[in-house]
Amino acid sequence: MNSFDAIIALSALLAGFAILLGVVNEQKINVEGVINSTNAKTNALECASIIDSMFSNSAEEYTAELNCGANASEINYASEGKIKTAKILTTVSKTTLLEVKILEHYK
Amino acid sequence: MKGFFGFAVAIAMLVVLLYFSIGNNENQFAFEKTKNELMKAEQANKERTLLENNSDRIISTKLEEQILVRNYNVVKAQSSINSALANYLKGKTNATNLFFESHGEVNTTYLTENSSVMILTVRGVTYAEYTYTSTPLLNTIVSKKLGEKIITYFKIPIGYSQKKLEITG
Repeated sequence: MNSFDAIIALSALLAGFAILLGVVNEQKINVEGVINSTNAKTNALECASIIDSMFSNSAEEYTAELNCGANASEINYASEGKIKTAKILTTVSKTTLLEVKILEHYK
Repeated sequence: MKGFFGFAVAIAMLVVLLYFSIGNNENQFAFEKTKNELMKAEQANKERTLLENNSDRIISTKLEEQILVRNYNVVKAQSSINSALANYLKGKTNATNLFFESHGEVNTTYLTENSSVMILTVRGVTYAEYTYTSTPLLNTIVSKKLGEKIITYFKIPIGYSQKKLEITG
């Protein structure tokens, strides 16, 4: 009888531990979701800021890489299924490159 | 064994928090990086605006000066304007083709080959014009690449011109 009690106690303990681990895992999943959302928003904002800067400074090219999607005046970025968007001042079309419409300068 | 499970859960939560913190720092770093890039772009634009304003000012002042001293000799006028402009642009800009590939530095000779000056006076009206014409092949400009990743170009475009009119009497 004593060993049966011990088994039950151990099972309860393990079940409790499993629940706690489940909760931690759930938290981890939530945190990952938040990180992916933040990451997507950060990248969308980064692209939008650079495009806005190109527009306002009448810049002609960007030598680094931007991995954003574009839909007219909206920039989007997907990170592990989380898609975030950011608005821009100008319009952009995407073929193989992002083409930013800028104002003509110094004529 | 006492307290082991609680300790293990606390450690696991700490790992999750650490993970969150790393993700947060990465985003912070990305923002800082972008901010630096934007500042460099603004700086490049400021540099370009200064070059443009000063070039405009030099051409405008020298053109007015030709009218004031009644210098109707276009060769002398062109030389006077271009030497002042070359003094300013030398070292700051390059003589380039349309693809901004440099083929030397800007000097008076280069500017003279690439520009034209016209000064006319008829019945008390003096008209003066400076035009950046480029060569007959229309493939030489004065330009400068500015910025690091966000690139802007200072250029005196082909067809750039300044006009002055003076009415006397």
